[in-house]
Amino acid sequence: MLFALFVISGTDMKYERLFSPITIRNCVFSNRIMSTAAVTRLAAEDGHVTEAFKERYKRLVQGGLGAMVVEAAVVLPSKSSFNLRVSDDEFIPELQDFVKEIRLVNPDVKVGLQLIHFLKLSRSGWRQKVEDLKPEEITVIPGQFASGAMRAREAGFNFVELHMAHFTTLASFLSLLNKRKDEYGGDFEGRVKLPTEVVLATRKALGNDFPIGARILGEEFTKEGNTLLQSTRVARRLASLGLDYISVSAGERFEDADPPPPNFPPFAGTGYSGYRMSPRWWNPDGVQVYLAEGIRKAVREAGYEIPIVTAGKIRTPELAEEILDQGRADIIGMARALLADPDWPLKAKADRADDIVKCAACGYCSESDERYETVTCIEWPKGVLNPASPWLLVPPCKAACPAGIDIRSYIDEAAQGHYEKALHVIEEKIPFPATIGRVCPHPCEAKCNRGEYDASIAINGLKRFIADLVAARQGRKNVSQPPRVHKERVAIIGAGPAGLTAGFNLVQRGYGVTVFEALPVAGGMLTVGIPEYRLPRGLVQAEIEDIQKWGVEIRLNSPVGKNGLALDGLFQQGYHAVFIATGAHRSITLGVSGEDLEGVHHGTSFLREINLGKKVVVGGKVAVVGGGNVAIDAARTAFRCGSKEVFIVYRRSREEMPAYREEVEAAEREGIKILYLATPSKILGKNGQVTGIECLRAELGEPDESGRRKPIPVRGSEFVMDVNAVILAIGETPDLFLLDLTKFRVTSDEKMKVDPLSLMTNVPGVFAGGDAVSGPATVIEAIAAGKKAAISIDKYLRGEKIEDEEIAPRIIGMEEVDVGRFNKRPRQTMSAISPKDRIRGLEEVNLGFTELEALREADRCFQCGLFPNKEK
Amino acid sequence: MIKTVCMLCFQVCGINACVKNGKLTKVEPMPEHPFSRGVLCPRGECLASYVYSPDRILYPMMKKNGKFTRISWDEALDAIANKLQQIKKKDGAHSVGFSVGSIGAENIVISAFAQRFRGAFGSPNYFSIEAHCFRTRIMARLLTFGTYPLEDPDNSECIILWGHNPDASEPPLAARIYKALDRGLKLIVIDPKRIPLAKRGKFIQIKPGTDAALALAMMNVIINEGIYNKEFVEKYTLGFNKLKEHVKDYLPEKVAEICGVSADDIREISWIFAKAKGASIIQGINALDQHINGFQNSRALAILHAITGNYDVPGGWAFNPFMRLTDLRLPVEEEPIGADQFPLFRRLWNMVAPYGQQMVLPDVILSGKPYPIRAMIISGGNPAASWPDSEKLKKAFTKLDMLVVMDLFMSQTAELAHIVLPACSSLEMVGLAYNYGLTGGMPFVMLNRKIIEPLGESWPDWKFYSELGRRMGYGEYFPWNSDEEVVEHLLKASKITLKDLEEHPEGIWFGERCYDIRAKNQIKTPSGKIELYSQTLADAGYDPMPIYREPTRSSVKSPELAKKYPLILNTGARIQEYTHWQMRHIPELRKLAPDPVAEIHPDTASRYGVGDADMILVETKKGQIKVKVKTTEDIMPGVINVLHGWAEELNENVLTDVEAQDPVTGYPELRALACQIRKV
Repeated sequence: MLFALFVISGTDMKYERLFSPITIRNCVFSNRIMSTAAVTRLAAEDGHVTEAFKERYKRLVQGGLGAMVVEAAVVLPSKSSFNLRVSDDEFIPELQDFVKEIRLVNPDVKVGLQLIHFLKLSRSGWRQKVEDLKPEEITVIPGQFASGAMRAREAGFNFVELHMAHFTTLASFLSLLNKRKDEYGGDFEGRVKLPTEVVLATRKALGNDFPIGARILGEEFTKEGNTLLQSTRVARRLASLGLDYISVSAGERFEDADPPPPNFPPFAGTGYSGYRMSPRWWNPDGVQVYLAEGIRKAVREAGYEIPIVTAGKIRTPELAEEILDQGRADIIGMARALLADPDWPLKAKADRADDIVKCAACGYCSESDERYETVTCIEWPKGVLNPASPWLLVPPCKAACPAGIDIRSYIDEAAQGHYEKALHVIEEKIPFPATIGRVCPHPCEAKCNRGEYDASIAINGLKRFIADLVAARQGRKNVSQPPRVHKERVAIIGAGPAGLTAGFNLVQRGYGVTVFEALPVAGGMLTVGIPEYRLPRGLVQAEIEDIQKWGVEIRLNSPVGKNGLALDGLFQQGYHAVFIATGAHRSITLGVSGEDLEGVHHGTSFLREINLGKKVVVGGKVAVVGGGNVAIDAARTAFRCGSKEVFIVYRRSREEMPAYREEVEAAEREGIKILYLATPSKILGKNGQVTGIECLRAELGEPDESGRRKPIPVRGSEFVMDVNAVILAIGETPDLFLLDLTKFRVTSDEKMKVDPLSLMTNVPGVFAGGDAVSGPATVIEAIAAGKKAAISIDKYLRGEKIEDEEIAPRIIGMEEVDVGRFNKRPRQTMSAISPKDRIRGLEEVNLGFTELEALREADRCFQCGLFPNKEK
Repeated sequence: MIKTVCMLCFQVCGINACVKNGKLTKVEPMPEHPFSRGVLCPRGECLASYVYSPDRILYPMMKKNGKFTRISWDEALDAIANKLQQIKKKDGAHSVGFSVGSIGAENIVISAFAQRFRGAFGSPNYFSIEAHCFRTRIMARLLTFGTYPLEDPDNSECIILWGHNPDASEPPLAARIYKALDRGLKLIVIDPKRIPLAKRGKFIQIKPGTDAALALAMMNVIINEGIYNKEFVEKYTLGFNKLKEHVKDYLPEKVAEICGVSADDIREISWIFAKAKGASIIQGINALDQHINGFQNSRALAILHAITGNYDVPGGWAFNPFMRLTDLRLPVEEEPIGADQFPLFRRLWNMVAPYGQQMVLPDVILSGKPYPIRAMIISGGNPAASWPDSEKLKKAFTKLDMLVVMDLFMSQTAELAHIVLPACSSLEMVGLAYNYGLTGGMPFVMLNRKIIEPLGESWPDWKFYSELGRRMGYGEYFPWNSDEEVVEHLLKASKITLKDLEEHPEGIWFGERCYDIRAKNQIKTPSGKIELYSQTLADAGYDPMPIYREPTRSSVKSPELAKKYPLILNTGARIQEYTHWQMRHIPELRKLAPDPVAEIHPDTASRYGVGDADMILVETKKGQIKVKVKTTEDIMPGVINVLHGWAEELNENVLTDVEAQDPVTGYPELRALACQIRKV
């Protein structure tokens, strides 16, 4: 579990009501999650605070809850082993320390102390009843509560809660089972007399600006006990006395407890009533909510607005939000759910509800209490309080991904058909999942362990499937803007993948973002570089619209630099940081004669023109020079624009060709011929119009700085091909004309120079990334750079130091996988439209996986690290 | 406002009944009810109109000269008692039959007292709706798992609705599924009709009657592609290798042709089902059962659950405790009719069903063999409308010396009766709502409270049987004098008292849903394993593993028949407005669904030159009925879907018969019949 991650992305407002603040008399709970008082049995036998006790609660508040009610502290002097005490001033200093330490861990959480007065119980089974209390024993009770409350205030607690539920003294007085014949029993007024006195005494002692709440029973679930009918009257009375909240519980009455073993007192946590207090797995979730709802309704009808807390098997943020949304309660109380996973609030807030270790409602905690043992949870070994750190062991796919997508997780989700969850995993790292799922060069697949076994997993194809399927099933997501937390605005130059990713991440971090795009369309190379048959335009635009819905403002036709806004001007316009992500769109020239002839095109601009919908006439016979993806795209596009014959002229051999293999194969299948080991030496022309291209044969020499063998032209091997057009696609370079080069440092090959850790240029506040820095690279690398820039800009604007936080992960090797579990199964192949149909238009060629193919493919994943080789 | 339940159908939803001056004025859903969760169908909302309907039978009546005349309860009871004594003396007690319909299966008091009385009287011939409704799945699951596990839709990641349209027949379930869909439930719908929920999931439009083939092909995929739950299969099941061999031939491509679906769809749903953590198949109440292959359909679904490990886990089929109630039955040695033809239906291991197989009853009455049946007492049911081949049944009933029908309304069966007795509605008596555990998977019980006084001279069933029993000298068996005493007695076997229930009008959870039966070593089959291969079935001469058999009247099986009757007829589809034949006289409901309709694909309709609202004759080799055409793209072309329970001259059961029966259960074949249509 990576806790930091939850904190970072904590601006998600999926559970808006749950994470909205609420004020209890002048005390603000930052959200609606309250840990209800639950005994830990971690206090010392004499009721003192222990280290273990502190640790438990410190861990609890780390999870980000709004309010914590510390377990019941005893206000009367009677002995009660391992119960926290506040019955004497001697307990104040340690409680003070306790509250201080809690605040150190979480300064926002509001800490309350529950105050309990109980009826005595002995191990022999004897039990005091309200009828046994003598009048003089009753009259001291309000004072005991009041003193306890004052001690709590002195110790620094934010509020106190009077325990009037379950088997406590006050609950027993309130009960219809109270058979006292004197003024403290009988009718409603008699039963409510002592609790009323307690409230009044406590209020008097604490004055008017300290919140006091109470916990009551919605229903006793015992024969002849109180039902909702009585509870609503009690609640209305308490509200009229000026209490600040009412927390509604149910059940847990000794009257209904299972028969105890001989010489044991009954345990109130058993019996139908006890099980209703902590609803077990056979009870539905939220089984108690109707009680809070009923009480809330009654109290509201009587004209009181005090918040009502509901509790009892509320395990998911969905349910919690629903309860609040439907106005059934105002605060969600949780005890066991937070015991199973203290980070429940954080995970919910970060929209990672699926990671919540869900309370099994098994009763294990309650049973440990019954056995007089420290209260623990059976779910802990699952990784919350003893977090394992398998995340430092990284599957090779994730290690190979420039964006660090948790590939193993999303494939696992997809294998179970949880496509939406899978998409969440992907979107944690990248926007544009459907786009990336089409054009990523998927370095992950090359590293996949399964590749050594039969064939690597078709990871990118699965990504595409997941994104497409979720979009198709749910339409475009209904996203709402994250709140603007910071006043600073960031200007981003270039609406390509790097710029938009940075914008997306900055908006999520609470900044205002404007993206300036020189072209009339957003998307950068995604839109104007990659041909439509590989990446449908509508899809990219839809994903860009999502990013806009998140609050990223995109200004089209807004060049920055010499032809538009001055870069410096951005700071004057109120932008606090700038991210340059202008890409690399300028084609490199060949440096041979004839390049200025009519009919000579440059790869990127050729593709851009076509992609912008302009009609470009190329001839019947075209030569494309280059061996990268742009060359292949240009060649295939030329074919689609009506050329009858298309050649690719490449100076090295197939082996060195940087274009994706499948793209090269697809081009060949479509009828494009590739001339290897040929170097253009001259472009021939007549009347200013291209008529042919002269090339030299080449041989491969020693590897150059790129690691590839250098082509050496063979003298005298000239040959001429007749062509109508030449498309030069031998490489691109950033166009840095927007920069004042006296201020910015650039590399010798005209790329921007940045600090590799922070991506900041030599000008403070100006960052750069993507192709503008790296030269032409992949979309996924641009996205990784955009994300990295966003993190840096955030830190820069917050005045934090930019450090490299990455811990070098250890990659899980093939030998660590228990391959015996897996049968050899072929990699699923995507269907594609036939080559014949392809060149007719620009429809997408690859059809993507069907659900069946995707399920089969995802099922092949080794899930490296999760099924370790036992022999190892 | 009183918290109680609606007992109009087996779901028993929670309601808040508003009563003013002793009169029920309004019924609202009970939002906190754990089963229905604030859902209430139009029938429930119309409870007041139902209870106060001018058509209610309010006093006992006897048919004299073909006309019913009012008599007193004393007269009625005397007449019945005399006749019963007479028949017992002459032909033996077995010549009197007792029958309860579906409400009798759900309202424990009705069936318990019918059984108590027949025990006291000494007749083995007690019949229950379970002879053609619901019990198939119980038997199939018992034979497979040794328990009767139930679906767990709230925890399921994947649900297959197989021949089930909960929007029409189980609104609370539908509401839960819609909710689950919002949280990402994967829904697969297998049905000849695109039901409303099909739009929210993967829809497989299957040819009626071919379900077992599809299930076997799914097994084929799951086993061959290695996506079965290996650990579970090894540890808990018996006969996997036999099954593997058995399903070898059910290749998706081959089965695709049988079912009219695509092979890739079969593969896809197999994968989705097998891969989901916690998957439940929810089968229709009867859609898969009333087939020649009905029992094997249910067996196949059980096996699908077993091989994917979707048993005894959250979201899968899991054991649910049932409420233990006092057994009011008295022993009868003799076997009921139908027991010899369908031995497993009567007796499975040490479990004995209390009823005979009523599908043979009309023949027994008409032939007098093996012995004459001279009288029937029927309550909570309307066999003349709801049993197959209603014409034959009516003929048989008219042959009886005495037919006694206890009901709220003058049903088609009541019209044939010699004596009609006024039953009170569930709102007029105290009873138990306990069957959430049996159908909804919830160990929850509520009190069915008495909201209003019984109308006219209507009685609860227990009172009728008790009074009759006392009159016939069986007083010692009928000591109860009030609703409360009866409920108190029934509850004795449980840990709950009437007082508990009175104190908790919102209901009580009496037990725990269990996901650790296997850990407790409680697979109670003879082998102690989950039986993919059933020796019990083999020993009884049945297929030990499910086999696909063509519907008797399919064009493949009976090509000659298909020439005359080329269309496939399905009967039994429900709508929300009515429970079986009941409530059609409630004006509010009738307005919502005024006519008996047959759903038909527009292509099929145009082939026969008919269109919406045209009247057509639907004809089988058994008979014909007149219905109104409703075209819908949702139904499979070539299939006619006649809605269930329209009585009067339009009864769909004029078209059905019992010539083809499931060999294991004796259930009649009421789906995938051959028919033709004609415009009139």
